[in-house]
Amino acid sequence: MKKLTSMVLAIALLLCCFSFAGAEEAVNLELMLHKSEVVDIMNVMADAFHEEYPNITVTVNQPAEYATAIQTRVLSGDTPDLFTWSNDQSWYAYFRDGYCVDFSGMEWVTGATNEAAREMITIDGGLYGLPYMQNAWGVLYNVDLFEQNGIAIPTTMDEFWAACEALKAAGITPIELTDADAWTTFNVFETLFGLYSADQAALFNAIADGSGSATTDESIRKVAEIFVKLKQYAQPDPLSTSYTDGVTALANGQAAMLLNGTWAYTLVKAAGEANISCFAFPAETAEATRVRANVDLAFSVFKDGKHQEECYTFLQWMIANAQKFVDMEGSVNLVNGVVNATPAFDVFAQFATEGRTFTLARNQWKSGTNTVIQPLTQILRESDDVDSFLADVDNEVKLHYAE
Amino acid sequence: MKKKLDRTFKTDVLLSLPALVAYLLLFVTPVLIGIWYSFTDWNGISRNYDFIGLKNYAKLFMDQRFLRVIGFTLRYTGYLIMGVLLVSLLTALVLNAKPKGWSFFKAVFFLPCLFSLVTTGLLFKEIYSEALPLLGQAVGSELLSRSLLSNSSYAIYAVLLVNLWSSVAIPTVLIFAALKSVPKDLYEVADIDGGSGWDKFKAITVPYLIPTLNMVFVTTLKGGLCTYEYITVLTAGGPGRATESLAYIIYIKGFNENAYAYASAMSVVMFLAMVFVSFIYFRLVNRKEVVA
Repeated sequence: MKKLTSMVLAIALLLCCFSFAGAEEAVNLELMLHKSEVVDIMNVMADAFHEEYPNITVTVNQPAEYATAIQTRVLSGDTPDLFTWSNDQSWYAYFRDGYCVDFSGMEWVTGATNEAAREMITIDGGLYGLPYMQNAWGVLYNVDLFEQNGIAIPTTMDEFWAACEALKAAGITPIELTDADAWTTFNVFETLFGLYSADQAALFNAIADGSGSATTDESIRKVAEIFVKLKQYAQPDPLSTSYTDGVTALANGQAAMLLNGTWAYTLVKAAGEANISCFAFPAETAEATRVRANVDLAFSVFKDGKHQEECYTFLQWMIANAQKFVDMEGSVNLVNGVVNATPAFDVFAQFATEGRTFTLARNQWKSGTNTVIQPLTQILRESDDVDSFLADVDNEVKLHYAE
Repeated sequence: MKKKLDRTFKTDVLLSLPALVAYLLLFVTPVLIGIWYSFTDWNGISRNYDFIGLKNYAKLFMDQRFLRVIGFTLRYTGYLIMGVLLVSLLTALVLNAKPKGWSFFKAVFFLPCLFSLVTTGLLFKEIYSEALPLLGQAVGSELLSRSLLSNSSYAIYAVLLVNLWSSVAIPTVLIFAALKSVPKDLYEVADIDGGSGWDKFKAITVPYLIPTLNMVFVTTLKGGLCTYEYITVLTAGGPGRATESLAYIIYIKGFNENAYAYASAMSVVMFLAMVFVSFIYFRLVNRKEVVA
């Protein structure tokens, strides 16, 4: 009996060895994701990928204080396999320091993605991100409130103010400003700045070398005046209203418009029943109107990761299944051949087709200038004092550019 | 005798060694590394950096934002220390008088320290944003009708109140326990000599409380100078830069603006300021301490 038991155990052990030898190694990839708005969608994509590639599991990690989390992981040598980022020069240090894979020579990236987007995120000749999703900044609005009050989509600044007046007269909050979250306040200023500047870098360069001043520049003064005037058509206390509050207000019909990006669209749709669409924030004239567009989600692969081939497999799958992603998320996708799934974004796609877009002003300024200007925009929101704001811009830009 | 002392000393050293090693590795080493970084131009990400001597320190004292933040932090810390000492002392004195329900209230006053700082901050953020404005509108107060956190003049006091609420719990318990150490016969002697309540408090109670008050002062000083969580949760340094504290700006510089070495220099300055203030305080106050 003892002999029989020993033989059975030995055979079982041998069979196990053969089965392990034949099986593919299970790989777990960690994807750190910067956009809280697409966590659920990315998890759906990860699950679908796993069904096709059972030996590869992609774990989506979306931590708070994302930039800090990435930095500490990199410095401790515990880099994730992949991470996502939006085109902001605060990320360029990772690329310049050789932390990430350069996709320039990889045909499966360069042949499959939008050329203009790739150019936007090419740093010092290297392509360190796979551009996947584009955003646009404009006006998310409640279609029913506009139609019920006979308001047409404004195409000029005067028409925009007239629309606000009509909404206000009807007892509707025209604009929900979300200034408790300073990044949204800054986004409004930055977009207006881009819309009214022929050269987004010129003014700050001039301030830095002493040949110019914000206090005498007409375009930034115009921007500040529009910025201040927006508050007249907003809810009573915008500085205590957060981004989440603003999304909820628009979604529930408590406000008619939210000045934000296409990234907010899925949140608004999830938060309420309102019929939402988008239009481009107008310039003085319809002809001068342009849309701020940026690469909103790019994938990068850390060189130190142990599973680079599997990372490429996942990214190639994401390219091949980009339509699935777009059908869920809705933003303009940067993979060639993908059809835009969200009619609300057709207006932005049209502007992009016509070449009437501009990119983030902060990427034209010296690195870190946005963190210097951002609190000044909150101060302007509270004080409405355009002259003080412009003087502060002069002082802060001079100091920052001199560092 | 010498042999016994040597053995005792060796035992003491061996038993202390694990804690000492942990302290050196987890506290002293990072502090020394941070001080080293303050003499470099490291951005917090790059694999390479250069030694630049005292340039970060020279830049600090020309930096208007840093000087403004120092002013805010000192003002905030001063108010916090006064508030914590006053409120915890008064509360402990009242509890020591054993009014009706004192045991229940002792437990209630201890509750705030059981919540995490972030939880407390989030709770009060909702109170300031939603509840207080409703109350303000109901009583017709313009000031309270909007969130105090969105008012650059009052945001500091709004944050201070939250910090105070959670900071008085432990000092109250400590002072209450210290009051038990005051010999009752001294009060009886003072009564016989015709001493007033204030005389008894000043001459008897306070000297016995000084060690505890010292501890409360230093921990509150550290808490005030290192205020970060409440600022981040309640205001993120805003509105504008109205509530940027030293700890908050160290974090922003180090992790958001890729100026890690500069942030390290700020940390060193903060550490030295804490040491200096503590030293002055102890020199002034310890003369009045009761020595058994």
